[in-house]
Amino acid sequence: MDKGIALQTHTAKYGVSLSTIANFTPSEFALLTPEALLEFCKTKLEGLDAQVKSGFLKQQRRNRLSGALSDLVASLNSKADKASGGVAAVDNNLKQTIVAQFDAAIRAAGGDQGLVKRLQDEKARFEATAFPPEGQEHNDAGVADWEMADFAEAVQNIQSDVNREGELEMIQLQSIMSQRQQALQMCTNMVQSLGQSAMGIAQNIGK
Amino acid sequence: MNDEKLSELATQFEQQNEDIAQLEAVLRTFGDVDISVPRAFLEELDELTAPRAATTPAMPVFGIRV
Repeated sequence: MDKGIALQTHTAKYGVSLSTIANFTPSEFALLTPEALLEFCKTKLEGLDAQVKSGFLKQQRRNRLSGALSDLVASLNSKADKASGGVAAVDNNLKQTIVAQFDAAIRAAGGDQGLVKRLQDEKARFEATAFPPEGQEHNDAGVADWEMADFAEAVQNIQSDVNREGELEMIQLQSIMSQRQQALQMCTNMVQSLGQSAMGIAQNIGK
Repeated sequence: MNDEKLSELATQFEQQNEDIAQLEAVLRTFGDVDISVPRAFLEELDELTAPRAATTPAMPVFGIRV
């Protein structure tokens, strides 16, 4: 099989004219079994799969983190306006809830050490205000509305950074998916053209 | 955030996997023959699927660096 199976069908894909095909030498083609071609295509596509799967995992983790931060911001904002009067010293329930929400966000931040550190710093700041050591209380161990607004703003800033990075990662993921689609389309076109060529040869036999 | 886009991409990923399975089925019908494949195809596919440098947030995505 020197010049391949009726390569005219490949011209559309590669923009090679029929006269150019006539000048092709065997070295411009590789002889492969269908198994080998399949293996080649699959290996190349699987190379992108690892990136796609890692991108999906990152996005899912970010979505969970963003959700945890939204819950935390909502709790902080619930006592951030003047009318609410902040968190009363005796309102241990809300204080503990907020600490638990900080912990959930820290867990969701997972391996991102920078984010974990920022959240831990904010949590420590909140705990120092809400549960001050004996003799160092101010606001009677409550958290003033303006302090709650300050905590809410700090957490919102963290959430904005998380979302911004997530958007960039999403663009990268979309780009890899598009690369995968293009690669798959190339393989499909190739296989279709091989199939049509084989059919053409079969029809010509015996004429 | 991004939940909807992510779900769309997951559907697209599944669809692509189904297409790969179909491709595999078609190739298997060719039987025990040698097929001649343009090297340009192999090279183009190789290039298309080669890992690309990740763009980090610290690196400008668009713009001209002087």
